[in-house]
Amino acid sequence: MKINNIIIGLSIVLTATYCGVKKSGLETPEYFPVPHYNFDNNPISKAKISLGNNLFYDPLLSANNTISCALRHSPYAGFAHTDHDLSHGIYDSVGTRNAPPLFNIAWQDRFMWDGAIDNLDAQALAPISHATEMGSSINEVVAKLKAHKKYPELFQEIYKDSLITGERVLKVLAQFQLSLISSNSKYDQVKKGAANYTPKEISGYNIYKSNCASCHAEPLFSIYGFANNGLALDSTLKDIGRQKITLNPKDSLHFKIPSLRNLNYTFPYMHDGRFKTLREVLKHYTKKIQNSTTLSTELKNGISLTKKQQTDLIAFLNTLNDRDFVVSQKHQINRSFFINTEGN
Amino acid sequence: MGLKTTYSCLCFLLCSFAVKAQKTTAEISFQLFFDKLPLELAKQYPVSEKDSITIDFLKFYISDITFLKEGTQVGKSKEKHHLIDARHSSLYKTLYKVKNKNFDTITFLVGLDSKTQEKGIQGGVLDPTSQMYWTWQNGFINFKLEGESSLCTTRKNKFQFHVGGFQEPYATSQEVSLKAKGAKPLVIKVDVASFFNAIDISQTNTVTSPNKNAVLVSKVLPTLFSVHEN
Repeated sequence: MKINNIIIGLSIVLTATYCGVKKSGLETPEYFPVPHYNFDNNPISKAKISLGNNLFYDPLLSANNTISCALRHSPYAGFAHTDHDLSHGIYDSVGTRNAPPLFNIAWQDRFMWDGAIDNLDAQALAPISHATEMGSSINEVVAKLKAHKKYPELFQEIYKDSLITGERVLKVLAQFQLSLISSNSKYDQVKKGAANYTPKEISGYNIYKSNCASCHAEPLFSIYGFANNGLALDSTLKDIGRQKITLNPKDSLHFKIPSLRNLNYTFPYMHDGRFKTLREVLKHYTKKIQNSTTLSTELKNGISLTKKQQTDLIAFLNTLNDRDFVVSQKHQINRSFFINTEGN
Repeated sequence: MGLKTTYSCLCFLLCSFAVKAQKTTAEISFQLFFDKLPLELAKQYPVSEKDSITIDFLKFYISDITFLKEGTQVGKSKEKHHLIDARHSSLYKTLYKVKNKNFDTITFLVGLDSKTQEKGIQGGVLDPTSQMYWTWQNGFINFKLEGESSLCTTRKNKFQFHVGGFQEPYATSQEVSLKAKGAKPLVIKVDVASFFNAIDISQTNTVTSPNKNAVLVSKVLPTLFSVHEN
C-alpha cells in the first residue's frame, strides 16, 4: 500500500515536471519561478530556435546589411554590449542607452530600460526600425528574407508553407532569445548541491540579502520592475526613463532593474553605461545616491558598507557569473549557415 | 422509447434546419469619402479660399462588426478584424451573416479591442508588416492618417495622426453605433472631411503616441461613420 502511494506520488511529480518542461519547451532549474512568457502563442521548437539564431546573427536585418542583433548583444558579453557606454548602431551612430544583456528573458514582462515594450515578440521591431540601431523596417527584412538563397527553405521546413511574414520572423527571433537561459553559475551549483561557497562568499551573500535582495531577488537576481536608484540625471542625455512612456511624474528616473547575474561580462553598468566597474557601482550606492521624490524607498537612507563588506559582496556577485552560458556553442553563430550566403 | 428518441432527433434536425435557413450572408462595405466625393490620395482638397488638405496615407482597423435587432445580437461579420487601407481602394468590402437580414443597428469598433492588443504580434491583417504596430512602444495603432496642409506650420506642412493606445487612461479604440435597416448590400460612408471639421490641424497636427491628444482625436473618429444612402 505504502509502495503504491509512493509510486502514485512519484508519477504525479514526474508528470508535473514533464508538463512543466513540455509547456515551455525550455530546460530550467526547478527553483526558477513560472515563466511570464505565454508559450501557447509561440510554442518552442528546436528548428525555430535554430532559425531565430541565424536571424539574430544576420546583418541582413539592418538597412545596409552591416549590423546584426549579435553585434550589440554579443554572447561573450552575456548578450550585452561592452566597451561603449552608449551602444552604437548603423552608420557609426550612437544611441542614448547601453544595450542590456539578454538572458532569462522568459521571466521578464517588460523590455527596454524604460519598459516601453511589454511583449517579447514585438521587441525586435524597435531595434530593427530605429534610425540609430538597424535603420530598417520589418517589411524590408521580410522582403530580403524572401529573396534570400537559404531562408525560404528554412521557413518552408518549419511552417510547411513558403510564407515569410513579419509575425513568423519576430516569433522565431523571440524563440532564440527565450533559449538564452543562464542557470549554471556557482550560485546555481550551490543551489543544486554541487558546490560550496567560500567564507568570503557566504559573508557577501549575507550582505547581498540585507542590502540588495529586495530589488535583485533570487533566483533571477532581479524582480524586473522599475526603480529610481539615485543616479544623477545626465545633463547631456536628459533621460527621464519610464516617465517618458507612462507620462506619470511618479515614474521619473525609473529604469528597469537589471539582473545581477553575469556582471563580469555585461559591463559597463546602468542604463547609460556610466560605471565601468563594480567598485564604481558600489561607490554610487554607498556615497553618491541623489535624493529625489521618486528615489526608491529602499535607498532613502543610503547603503552603508565598509571596504571589506564591499569586497565580500563582490566575491558573492562573482558567484553569479555563468561562464558556461557565455561560451556555450549552442548560442553561438552557426557558421555553416553563413558560408556561401554572402551577397544576399 | 425508441419512437420518442426518433421523434426528438427529428425535431432537433428540423429546428437546426430552420435556424440555418434563417441565416443569410450579405455584404457590408466601407467607402472612403472626402465630403461628397470618394477619397483620392494625393489630391488637393480646398477647405477655404486659400487653404487645402492633401491625404497621403489612411489606414485603420475596424473590429467586431455586429448587427442588432432591438438590442439583441442577430449577426456579425465573418472576420473579426478588418484593415482598411486607402492605398488599396476607397471601397472595402466584407461579408457578414445575419438572421433574415433583420436588424436595426450596426455596431463596430474603430480600432482593436484590448484583448487583441495585449496578445501582441499576430498574423493576417495584424501582421507587423501592415505597419500598424508601434515600433518603440506597446500595441497597435488603431487609426493612421498622414498628409499635408497649408494650415499646418510644421516641417513641409505635414500632419501625422497615429492614434493608438489601449491602456487606461489612454485607451483609444472607439465604439460606433449606427441605425440601419437590413436590406440591400450595406455601405458605411467614412467621411475624412469630418475629421478636419472636428480637429483644428493648425493647432493639433502631430499625434504619434498614446497620450491625452490621442484620446481626444480618437473621440472624433466615430463621427466619420454613417450609413450611406444612395
